[in-house]
Amino acid sequence: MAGIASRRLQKELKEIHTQGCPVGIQLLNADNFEEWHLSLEVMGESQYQGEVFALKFRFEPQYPISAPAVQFIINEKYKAPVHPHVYSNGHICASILGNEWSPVLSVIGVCVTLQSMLASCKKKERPPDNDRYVMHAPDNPKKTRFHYHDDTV
Amino acid sequence: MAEAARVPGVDDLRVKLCYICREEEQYDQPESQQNKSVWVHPCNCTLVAHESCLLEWIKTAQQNPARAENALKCPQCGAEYELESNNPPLLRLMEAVNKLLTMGGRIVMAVNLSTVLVAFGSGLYVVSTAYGLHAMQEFLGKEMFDHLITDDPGKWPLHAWFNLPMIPLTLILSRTSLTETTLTATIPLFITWAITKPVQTDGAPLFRPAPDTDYFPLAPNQEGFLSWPPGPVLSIFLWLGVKSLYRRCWNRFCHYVLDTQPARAPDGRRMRRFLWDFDEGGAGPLRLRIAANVLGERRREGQVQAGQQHADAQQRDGGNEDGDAEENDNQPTARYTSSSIGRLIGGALMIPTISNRMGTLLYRLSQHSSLLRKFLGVKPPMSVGLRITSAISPAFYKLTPAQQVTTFSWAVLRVIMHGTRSWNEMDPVWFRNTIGLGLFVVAKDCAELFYAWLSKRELESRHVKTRPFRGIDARELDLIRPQRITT
Repeated sequence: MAGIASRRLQKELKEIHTQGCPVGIQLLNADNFEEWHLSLEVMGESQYQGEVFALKFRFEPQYPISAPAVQFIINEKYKAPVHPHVYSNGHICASILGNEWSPVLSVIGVCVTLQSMLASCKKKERPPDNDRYVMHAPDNPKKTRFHYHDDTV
Repeated sequence: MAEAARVPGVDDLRVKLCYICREEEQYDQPESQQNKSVWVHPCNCTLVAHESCLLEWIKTAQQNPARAENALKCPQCGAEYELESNNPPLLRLMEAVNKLLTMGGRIVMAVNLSTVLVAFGSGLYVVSTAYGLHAMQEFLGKEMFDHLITDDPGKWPLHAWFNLPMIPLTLILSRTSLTETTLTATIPLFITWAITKPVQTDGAPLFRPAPDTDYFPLAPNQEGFLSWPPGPVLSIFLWLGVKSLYRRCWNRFCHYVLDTQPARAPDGRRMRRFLWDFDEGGAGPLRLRIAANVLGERRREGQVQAGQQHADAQQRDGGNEDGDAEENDNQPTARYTSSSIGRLIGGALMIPTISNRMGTLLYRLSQHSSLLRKFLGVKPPMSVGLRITSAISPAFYKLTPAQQVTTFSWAVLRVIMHGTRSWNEMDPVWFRNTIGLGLFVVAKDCAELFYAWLSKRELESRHVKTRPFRGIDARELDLIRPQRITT
């Protein structure tokens, strides 16, 4: 039997198809219930005007009890945004993806939160410990124990 | 009307949507999706959930220490969930016991750990103190040792408990590159002993009466500024001065002996590097590298307890190194191998014994030379006990304040120059031991220099022996004058 994750993801997918995505968010790829790709764009005036990013969601069978692993995709087409909470390998330091994850959130919910995180950014810069982190970072950002810098951004 | 006043509950909803699994349930189609659980509305907002989903979420969150705090809170409105469970007193009791045991386990662990640490530390302390006592006895000589310290810990002055265990540490450190700091650490150590009140030995019935003018019994009864041998405090500064002067001259002498051809004398270069190391070593970090003995490495030990560091500078052999290589090579490498550490510690701990043996040797020699006897200040063992009272003589209080200040500072000056009475009037074993130690250092330096010089000569005189082409057919060789083939 499909686990709780696939049933919930099926629901989320259906919702996306029926209600559509919020502005600036697009589903790129949701062929299975293990990994989804979505594109993200900050609308209106912001530091990231005209830039399009892509997010990779990886789900465990316990989703939504366990948080999805979310990171920015880096390839020929997409780059990670330069942001104080985004490492150059695409990993994101955000409490909602770790300690403060809750099943109320959804794939779209995470996208919207990250969108507003980018939108409220005042200065484009990498996290101060970027080089050190990227050198030793695990493939899966969920394996990292982030120290959440601050909740304001 | 009664219906309207009733506050609606979760079962009054037309559509129930579980915020965790996102399953929906229409009020008119219950169990439509073979559902498993009752519905709950646990908080103050509109979220509802399957009880089973919610319990699963709470359980998972509670298992994660970082999330446990918020496990029972609604993620949306923050209201606290109320859990009801079959929680009989027995379970609660057992939980409390478990908690207590966990805490107890932690305490036991901490106690164990600290016991081990304390045991190790106190063992080290006892051994160090015993060694310090031995060192003092070797260095001071029996008579002064019995007068100042004695074997009985009950009589020790307070600072002995700190100074005695410091002795082995100081000796070892004095041979590392931390020389400068140890010197400053040693000075208070010796000064406290030089001016400390001696231990009163029990049942010493023979006292020498103190003269009336002797207001301070501790101060030596000595006229003039200088006495020979100098008092212990003065001796420390003399020792330091003589030491640095000797070091400077000795290094120059080493260069003179070894450095006749600077580019080709590895030993000379090593000296320089050694010197550089010495200059920097005090402030710089101690580069400690445990390495197996490197083939071809010749070690040169730092001079013994003159307080020099012990550096095994890595020798890079090769007769044809030029000045450039030397420039590139000026990174000092203090190399400590396991055997060199053993030599360092062993050598350091031998210092008191060596100095005692050398002092005894000097004493023997002084039996045949009155000049040496005078130089060493040899005195016969005291036939009468030295009476030292701790009280200031009452006559002192009869003086005017100005006189008090003068006599007091005069007494302090005398203690600094001559040492306390015990140091001044007893046979100065410590002085001949110090001189002996100095002589030993010089002898050892000479031996090392000689060793380095011989090594260098060996290196310079090397050449490879050449042999004739015996056993090879001469026709295979391309000779200037081919040999005629004789048939």
